Amino acid sequence: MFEERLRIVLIVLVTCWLIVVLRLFQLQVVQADYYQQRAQQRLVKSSKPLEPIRGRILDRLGGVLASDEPAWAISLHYRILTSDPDYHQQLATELTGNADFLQRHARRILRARPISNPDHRLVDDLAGDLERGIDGAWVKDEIEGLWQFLAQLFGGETVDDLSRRADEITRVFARWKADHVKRHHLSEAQARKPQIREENQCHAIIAGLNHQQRLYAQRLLRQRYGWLVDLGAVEITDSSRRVYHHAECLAHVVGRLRQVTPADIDPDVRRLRDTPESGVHRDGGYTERDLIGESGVERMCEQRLRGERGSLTIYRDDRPPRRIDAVMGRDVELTVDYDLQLEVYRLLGDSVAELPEVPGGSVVVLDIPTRQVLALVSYPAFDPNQYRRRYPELSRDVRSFPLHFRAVYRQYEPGSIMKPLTVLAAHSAGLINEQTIHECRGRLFPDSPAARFRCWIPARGNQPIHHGLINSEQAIKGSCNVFCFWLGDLFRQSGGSRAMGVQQMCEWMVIFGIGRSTGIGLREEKRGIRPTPSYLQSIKGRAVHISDARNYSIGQGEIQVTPIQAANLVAIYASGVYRPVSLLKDQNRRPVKLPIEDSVWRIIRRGMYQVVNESGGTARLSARLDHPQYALCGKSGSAQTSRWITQYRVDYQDGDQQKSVIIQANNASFARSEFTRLYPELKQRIVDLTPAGYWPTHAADGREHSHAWFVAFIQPKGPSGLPDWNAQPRVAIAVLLEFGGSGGRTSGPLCRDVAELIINQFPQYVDPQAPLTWGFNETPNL
Amino acid sequence: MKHPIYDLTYPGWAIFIAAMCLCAVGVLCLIAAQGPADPLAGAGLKQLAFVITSLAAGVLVLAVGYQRLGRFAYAIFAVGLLLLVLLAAARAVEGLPLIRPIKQTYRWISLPFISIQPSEIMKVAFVIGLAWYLRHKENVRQFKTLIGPLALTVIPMLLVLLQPDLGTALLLLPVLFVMLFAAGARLKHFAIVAALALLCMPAFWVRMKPYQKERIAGLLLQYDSIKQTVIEKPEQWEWLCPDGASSARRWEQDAGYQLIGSLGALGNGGLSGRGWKQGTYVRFSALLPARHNDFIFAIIGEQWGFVGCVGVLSCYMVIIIAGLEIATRTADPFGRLLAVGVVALLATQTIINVGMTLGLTPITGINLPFVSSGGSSSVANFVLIALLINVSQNRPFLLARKPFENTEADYAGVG
Repeated sequence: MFEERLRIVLIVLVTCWLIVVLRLFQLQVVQADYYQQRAQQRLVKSSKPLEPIRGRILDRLGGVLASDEPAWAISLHYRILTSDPDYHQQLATELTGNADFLQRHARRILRARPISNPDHRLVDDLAGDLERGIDGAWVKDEIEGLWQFLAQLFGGETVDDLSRRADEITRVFARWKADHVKRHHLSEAQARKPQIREENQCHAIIAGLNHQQRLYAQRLLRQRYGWLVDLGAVEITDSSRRVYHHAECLAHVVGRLRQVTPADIDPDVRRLRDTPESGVHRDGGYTERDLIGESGVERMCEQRLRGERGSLTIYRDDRPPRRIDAVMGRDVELTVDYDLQLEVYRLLGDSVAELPEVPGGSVVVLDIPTRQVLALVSYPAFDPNQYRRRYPELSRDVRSFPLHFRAVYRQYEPGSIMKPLTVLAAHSAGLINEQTIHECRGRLFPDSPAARFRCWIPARGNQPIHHGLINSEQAIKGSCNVFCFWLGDLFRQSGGSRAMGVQQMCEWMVIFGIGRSTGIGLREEKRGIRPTPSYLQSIKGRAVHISDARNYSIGQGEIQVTPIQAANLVAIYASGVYRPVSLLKDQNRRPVKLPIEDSVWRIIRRGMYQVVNESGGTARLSARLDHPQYALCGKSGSAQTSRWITQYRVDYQDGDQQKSVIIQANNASFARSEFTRLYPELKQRIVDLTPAGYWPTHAADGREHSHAWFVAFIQPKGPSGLPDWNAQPRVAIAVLLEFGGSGGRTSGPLCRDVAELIINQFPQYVDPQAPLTWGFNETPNL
Repeated sequence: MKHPIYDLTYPGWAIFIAAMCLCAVGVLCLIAAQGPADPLAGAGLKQLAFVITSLAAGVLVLAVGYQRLGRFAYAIFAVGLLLLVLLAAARAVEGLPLIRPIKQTYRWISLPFISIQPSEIMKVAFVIGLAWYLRHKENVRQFKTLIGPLALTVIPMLLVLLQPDLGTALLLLPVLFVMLFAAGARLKHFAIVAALALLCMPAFWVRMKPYQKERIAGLLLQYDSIKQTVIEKPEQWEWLCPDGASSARRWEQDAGYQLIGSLGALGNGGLSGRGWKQGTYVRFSALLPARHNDFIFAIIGEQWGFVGCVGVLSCYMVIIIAGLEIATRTADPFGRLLAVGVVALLATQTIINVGMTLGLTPITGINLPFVSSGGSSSVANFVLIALLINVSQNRPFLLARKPFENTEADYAGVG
């Protein structure tokens, strides 16, 4: 019995023994490789990241548009930020503890804060006085003075601003500390003492100082608060900052940076970083303090600009530290010419200033053979170096939208700049030929009493003005709506149904890049709208109407394009070649020759020449360019559009009464968020939102509001003074003025000015012989 | 016939040699673990001195004889209890002489040259006392008389818990069960006690401190897949990790740091080990903080690998088998229960310590007998094996002269 039970005990113990041995076998034999690798990793004592310098952004000629510059920051000790009384006491003790130290600083301290009359006494006595006078409360006063001092140092800031920033900094670390205290079950007394590393470090309170500001701050700080600097409570620390050397004109193109958000941080990387002994700082990963491109080229070329983080690894054993240098970010060369961009920006700014109804506009200049962007202008813009400070006002300007990158982000009805496309498509589809003529009698249905589908020329009194019998070349010259309506009908008839007609037109639009990305690469870019039957069905919720093909053929209706698409469109008109647009010098895109015969291209090019240069052309009076070598060939467009909402009336319930307030906003959800920001307590009380203000402010009185387009290319002239159609045109220009009215009258002159500017001041961009433009001599890959 | 002191008998020699081997491994580990400016400097030599002292204590026990000690069993137990009460009192009364808290625990009594750990004395006293009580058959067979041994266990347990030292406190329970089992307690009594223990569990769990729960959670959190689910669905695991995702996410740097270190050390040892004084975890104390006592098995594993670990475990197996052999050969009920108790105590300590090093049991402050550094535990362990050897030195026929308190026949019909 006893033996029996002992045997059971023995069996249990042997079983335990076997389990232990099996587990050992698993750890030491099966998983040995894994653990041996781990042991190697754990030899790393610490690994410090080495930050790379972000690449520069250069313009076409190598001028620096954006670069990382050394910068300095004034940093305060964490416990000053939290105004910790224990720390004040500690500083007082440290100041008085060392007689030499106190003596060194005594005179300066006393000069600023006299205890008695210091001038008639010896420094020794003063130090003695001071020593008796210094305690925690004295230090507290001194630090309050320091806050004042810092706020006034560069002006423009208040102590409140600084303390708000201090709160932002300390809030994060206070949370870390709370975690730490909880985890280690620290008592309250222990929790009051510094527990995490950050509590013994200085943190930047005024950042982004340049060299002069730094020297200035250093000198004044030394003079007035030298003892705090010597005790390590105030520091001037190194950092770097992104400086934008261009003026406003490139703000949208170059873009800007922002702090990374948790979403940017790869969770795998975060995990690796959390285990310090692994010593892994994955180069691809972002950390919380990094900056990341938010818009423009900064965002588009983030990978290239960013560089790779290096590391400095220190080992536990006697291996020497291993240093992996940071790889500097690569520079990005834009195709934009800064000088041209600046001049065009000025011209556009002047035009907008002259026209009271125009909130903004855009000009795009393309090199036609390579489709490189020479200028990509949006107006108005902002100073990128002031962005953070001015963001609130910039973001709330719902009339001129200075933050919007109009050239690629805003979409507008193309209007008549679409007509050459319609004509090209009709010719190529075999619907018409060079001999085809059609009569314009002012309306599509002259015999019908309804006034729909009118030509753009209004009847003057009883005298009907119309284009008469015209061919396609003349239709472009006179921008005849009726001719194009008729072409729309031909598409419908040849397609066999309304939907097929629209579908066929849309297939032509694709070829010309409407409704698809231009390939410029900017993340802000919108694709425009190509109103295919399926688009109409799914987005607009309607079937194709009989008038759709007619409207689309004159560039009205749902169809929308961005200015850069318009520029590429006119470059296609000029060259017969589709090619994606390049903003960077090393973007090399394949050109595609469109399947349209040369004779058809000639028709629209001659038409566009006549628009500007011949009597009866829509822009002859306003956009004519007199130059012996170059002719401007263009097409105006006055795209009818609806007004913008700029104000909302927000009705809300206040007690029994219903009240309302006017909010500046361009859409209901923005109005709602603005209202909530202004009146947070009334958030739940909103009853209704109604549009209350528009831009332009007046309603359309007989004539419609319209965006003014003008697209043009510069064609070299032959010896006869007429365009040499065999020469390759070099420059395409697209001009858009929002609510500019007649495209010929407002955008036309601006386009002419831009063309003149290029011909006179930047002749290398128009000269067909000059091989300055990269890739000009290569023949399109057909 | 009684064996002379120097005749250790065959199982006795086996036990002695195994224990000395373990001590040698321990001393080597301590020498290896001491770095150049390490507070452990000289720990190896110190441990050697402890071993020699412990040998002397063992010889003393052999000279006195376990039966004579048995007569003073309750007195020894009382002394042990008294020391524990002193420690408990120190918690309540500030500034008691000789007792200072170390890491907020009250475990040591500091004498001028040496600190002693009363819980180690208690372990020995507990085994002797329990064996002395259970040698009477009637004390074992009835439930009401089992309340005595339960009380003998629970009172020191509570006192040790107050230190707080959960590990040592829980150590007494398995020893009690093994001794009761060997002494022939009825199985249904076991069932009752087990049921009671189960009922107490929830209350016990609630009373546990967060760090103690964290240690139990560590058994699961060491596997990445479970850790991930805790991080993703903290609400389902709230009973285990009250802090939820954050503690799980930081487990490797926090509660799990020691376990990760110990598994790393064992794994790094591989099949044959890195060699004496070699290996990442042996050389850098920051990676495995308690490597000189609680986690000494990990650095055995790193230095001598799977082979060394199995060797060390075999030494314990030798002690266990020889101990049980002694128990079977002895007819003296006190002697055999004493032998079983000693084996149970050493085996439980070994299993818990090695288990926690391997991530099989929760991390507690129980050290590895004969190997870990520490004077009190070394003396206690040698006293325990000296008792074992002493039991083996008493032949059955010697006992035949005295009347049996508990005969083979009394076991008949029970099973």
